Amino acid sequence: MRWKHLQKQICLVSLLCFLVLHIPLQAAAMDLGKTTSKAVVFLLDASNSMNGNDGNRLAIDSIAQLTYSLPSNYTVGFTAYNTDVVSAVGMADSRGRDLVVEAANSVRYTGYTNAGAGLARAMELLSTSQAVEKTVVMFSDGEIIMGSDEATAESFGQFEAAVSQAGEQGVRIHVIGLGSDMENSANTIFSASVQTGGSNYHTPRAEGIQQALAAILLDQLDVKKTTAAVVDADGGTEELDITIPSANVSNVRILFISDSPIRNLNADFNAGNARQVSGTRYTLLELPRPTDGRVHVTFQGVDGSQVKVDVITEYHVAVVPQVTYEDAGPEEEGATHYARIAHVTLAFYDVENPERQVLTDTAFQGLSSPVTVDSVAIPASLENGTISFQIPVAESGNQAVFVDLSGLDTNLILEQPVSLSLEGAPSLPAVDARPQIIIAILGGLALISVFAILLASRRREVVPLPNASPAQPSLASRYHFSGRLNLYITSTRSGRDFSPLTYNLFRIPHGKRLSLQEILDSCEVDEPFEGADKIFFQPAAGHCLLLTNESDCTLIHRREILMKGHSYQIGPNSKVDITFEDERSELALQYRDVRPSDMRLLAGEPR
Amino acid sequence: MKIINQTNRTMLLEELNPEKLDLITMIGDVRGIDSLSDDKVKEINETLLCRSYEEFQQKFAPCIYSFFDANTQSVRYTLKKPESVPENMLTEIPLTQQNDFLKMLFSLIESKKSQGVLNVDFGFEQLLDMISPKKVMDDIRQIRKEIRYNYSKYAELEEGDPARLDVGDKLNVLFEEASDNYNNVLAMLPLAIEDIKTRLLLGAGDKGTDPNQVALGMLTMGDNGELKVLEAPKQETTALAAIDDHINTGLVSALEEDYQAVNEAPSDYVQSLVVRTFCPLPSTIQTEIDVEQEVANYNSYLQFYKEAKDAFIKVVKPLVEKMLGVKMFFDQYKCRVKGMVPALLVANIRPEMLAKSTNLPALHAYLNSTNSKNNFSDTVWYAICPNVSISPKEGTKLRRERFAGNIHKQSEDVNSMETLATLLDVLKDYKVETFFSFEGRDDTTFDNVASEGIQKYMDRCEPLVGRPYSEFAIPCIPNFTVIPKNKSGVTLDKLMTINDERIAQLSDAKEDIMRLWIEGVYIGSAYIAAGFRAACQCPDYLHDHYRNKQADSELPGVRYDVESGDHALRTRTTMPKEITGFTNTIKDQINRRNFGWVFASENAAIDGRNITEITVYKARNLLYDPERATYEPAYKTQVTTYIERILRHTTGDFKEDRIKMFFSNNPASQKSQWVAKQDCINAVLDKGDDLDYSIDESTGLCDLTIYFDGNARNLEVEINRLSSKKS
Repeated sequence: MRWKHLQKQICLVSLLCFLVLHIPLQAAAMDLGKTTSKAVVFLLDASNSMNGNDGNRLAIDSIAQLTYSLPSNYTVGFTAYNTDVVSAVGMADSRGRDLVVEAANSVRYTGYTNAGAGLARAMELLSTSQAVEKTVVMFSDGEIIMGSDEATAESFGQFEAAVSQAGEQGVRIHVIGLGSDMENSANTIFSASVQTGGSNYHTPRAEGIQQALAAILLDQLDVKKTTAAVVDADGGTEELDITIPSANVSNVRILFISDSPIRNLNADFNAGNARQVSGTRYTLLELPRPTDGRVHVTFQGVDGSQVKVDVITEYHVAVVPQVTYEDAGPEEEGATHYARIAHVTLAFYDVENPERQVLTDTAFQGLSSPVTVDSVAIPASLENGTISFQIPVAESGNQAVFVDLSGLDTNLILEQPVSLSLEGAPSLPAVDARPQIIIAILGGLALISVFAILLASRRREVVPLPNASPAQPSLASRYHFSGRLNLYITSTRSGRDFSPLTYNLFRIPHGKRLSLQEILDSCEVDEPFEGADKIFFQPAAGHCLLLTNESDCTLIHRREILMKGHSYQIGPNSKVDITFEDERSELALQYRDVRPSDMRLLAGEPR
Repeated sequence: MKIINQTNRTMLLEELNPEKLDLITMIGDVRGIDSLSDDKVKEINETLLCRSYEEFQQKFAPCIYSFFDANTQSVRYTLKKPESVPENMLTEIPLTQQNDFLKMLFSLIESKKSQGVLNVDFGFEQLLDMISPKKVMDDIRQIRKEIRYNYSKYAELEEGDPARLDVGDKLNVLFEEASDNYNNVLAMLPLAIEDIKTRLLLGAGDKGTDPNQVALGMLTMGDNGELKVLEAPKQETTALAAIDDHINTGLVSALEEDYQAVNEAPSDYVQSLVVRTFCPLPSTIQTEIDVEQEVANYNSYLQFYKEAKDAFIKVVKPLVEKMLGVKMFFDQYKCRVKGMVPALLVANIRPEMLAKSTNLPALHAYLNSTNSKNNFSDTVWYAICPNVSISPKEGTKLRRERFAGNIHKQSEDVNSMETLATLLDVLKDYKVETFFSFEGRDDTTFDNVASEGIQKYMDRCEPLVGRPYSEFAIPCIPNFTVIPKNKSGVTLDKLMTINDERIAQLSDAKEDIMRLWIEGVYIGSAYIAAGFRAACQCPDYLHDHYRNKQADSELPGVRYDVESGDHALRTRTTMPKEITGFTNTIKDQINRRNFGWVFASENAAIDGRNITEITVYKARNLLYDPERATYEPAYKTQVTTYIERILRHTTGDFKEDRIKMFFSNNPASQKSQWVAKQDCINAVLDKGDDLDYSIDESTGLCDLTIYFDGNARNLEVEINRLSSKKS
């Protein structure tokens, strides 16, 4: 046999845990890693002319709406200016946004327009933030005008200096121009956005701010939201069931926007906490850690008005990479090392509850999530909550991995890039020494196995085996099945009743890997059980059973949830309760050992 | 008994009262858990565990419900509380020992037991008429007498006298009993029937024939010395007080007042009926009787009573059979000093429900908590699954049914073989031996086995043979007969007619005889087999039955082999013999394969005394030994289980060094202790028995061999290799 054909898989599993366990759920953006943090300062023109262009103070209402809509990794500041800077608050994390809104609400429209001082103050506020992405959103209804020409010129100078500083620091300025004075897109205020790569929005009437804001939120700040409903209000009580698009979210904000006030909003939900804030034309419901995917809402809108309901979800996630290696004989002559391919799987876990895997919803299934490894882009997609890709490994070292999850309709707060520690390929053995090394490796593996058997026999408890590997699904176990499975279907979607079922595992030869679906099929169960094809059984040492969960079903064994992507050892006479992916079908599965004498008896039974 | 203090807790897989809690409800949700908390097990014991029939009666209070159907003008009975019937329209009839039907059955069993006669000789009719209005009236007469006696004392005593209060207490109880009757119209019917009969048929004698109008008179001698009965002057109603003493008047008003107070819708007719029944006045013979009206009333009362009783018996019979079974289970334990009293855990759920996929995990969790621990106080050792269906026998194929014959319809209440198999599969995992018997019908009785043999039972049990659970399945045959089908007719009374002289008389016409058929009452043999086996576990019970042999108070009777020697004659059931015995051919058939747990009603004598009770003829389970072409004795399974449990406990979950100690010749070893007690009647290792073991070092398995009189039974346990010899 040629050395090239001698191909052996040596699977070394390295679990790199980047779980930032100390991050609390409602973590202030400041507390989040700086790579996840973003900063926005709202700059408001509070000059006397605004009384004409925004008599209903809708600009302030919009600032409040935008402030509350931002994901938790944003810090927010607010500055208002007229003759001078009249208000400056910030930078506030997600817990301190009330202060910002309070400051905005207390502003009075009076005096001249000293935009230079205002923008300079905004830049000062931003300079206190460590955020990687900084933005100024400016509301103004006209050019810089001060009491005297000198003062106006000074303000101009200040403004230009601040704009160039912003340009240098990568701060983008978005401008919303109000009223007829801002029709000219070449004015000084709009030039700020042009110079910093920001965007301009002009709205002749204050009522149009809403659209401009929505555009900034979506297109510029890249905040992900989904529209849950658009309701044409008739003045009566409207009832609405809002579905949170994905499970296990860290936070959900439900934003009701209307051109008229929204009254008497009542919500029925299950969540760890809740908060409701209302403005003139919006109401926001914030639910951290919702436990139910459905929120029932009733409210009253003004007859003839339209209410838009947006849902903004966010996840605080940590990326956990798993690496398995595949070594093969090198192609080129004279190589000193094996050719090694690393199979990397990135899984996403909730930061607060590191055992909970997220992004496993079918909504995210198959979405493109390209990965960049040391500046090399690799196409990949999200499958069952994980992203898998392969990279060749030349030598040991760390590589920076960046995942582009912008294709997902949710706001992800995660530290990037992820550092991936890779081990280089082992060197090729000298020709004469090969057999000895192979024997040594085999011996080592045998020793590890013996040790594992000993460990398993010491405590036949559920042991999560991290190397249970999606990468080697077809491997037959070296153990043999010895027991039988009693299956009790306790609930089905159709409501059908199934009599207790038994599956004789000991009849299955050579420790074949079996899925629950195969077992149910052979028991002639024609009811669909979503996820049963992703729950696998293999024999293990000491008459035990190795259960691998690759599904989104809920598996409970001795009060412990069996996590997805992990394998567990199930001892004889143990029970596992499974709630399938449809969350209605349930099955209790009991693994029982069969005595050799009973095997003979049962062998005569029909399958 | 230091380690295992009981080996006879029994689980009854039957529903006794659907309104009470059941095992599955109490266990609750078991998702994610394998066993229950100690608190939960304790709560289940407090609610469902019974140690006597009285406790069972108190905890489960079996009852049936009745309501009136205006459409059919009849009374309806149901075992399940009908949800659509409002509470105030529903009457709950508790099935206590006071209930006439149950009382009749208990008396019947007792009387049969004391007389020791066979079914064929027993006068069932004498006892069956206990539910006729006449007998009900007899009971009332007794109460009436007591009321009158006590009331007279009460009236005599001065107010404030402590003795008066004592009598008052007694009177309260008696009035309470009486009010049970006049509280509902149905209970009043037998009273009304008897009342009318008494008034209309006065002078007609007990038979009610040859009636004459009666004129009360006095016996005198005539002027010439001839005897004469002269008509006495009729007493006016106003003269009542002159004849009656004050006691009667007081009692009358007391009863009237009580009736008015207790009844929500009192009627004058029922009030006077109550008064007449419980306080008959010598002067209450009415001068005017509307004979036609009274006869019509009597006939409609009797008809209604018959229909109601018939409906009641049809509905209540299955429940009563279960209750009798429970009573007989406890009755088997007759012991002077109570030791290991059999305990019955009533699951109170239909086996069919218990065997559903949704409920089995709960049963697993419960048994895992009680049977898979090294604490054996709550361990369930036996289960009773009565009423398993037996297919109706195929009669000769008829082209046309010329006469009304038996309707062989499949009963809905019976437990299917599939249900039994499902439950056995679960119970065997926890080493629970299940006694099951077939549905109570006239073709599962001693009579039937005596004539047809046991082949049909063997055929029926065929699917259960050769399965892992076979050794835990014990088929019990035949069922016991309380009232045989062919002697189950009850004559309530006859309808009345008016003759030409406008005098009422009982009709002689055959169709006017009010008769109902109970259609046989049977007790499932599983109750008695389990009760008997449970009783034999108690060392005190064995001690009572073996005066000349020693019974070790520390050992249970797990090894007690009732088939061996004269054991079957010494320890007998409490059930009276039913038939003269099985023929030799039938006994040969039983002995050829040694099938099942078979009771025998044989003529036998021990120590010069005839045996009048039913004995155990075979005590086998369904584990078939093909080498010897025989079924295995049931005791072997329990001994194996017992030894395994003791071994697990003593060796700290099968630690290798302690296993070796267990079997060593050291006098302190468990094996040596058992061997030392081989002479006892309840020895775990009898003479000829032995224990051996071998440890396979490579697989870590300990192969335990138990020799029962030379026949080996293997048990494999996995050694716990973590035991350190140094520790």
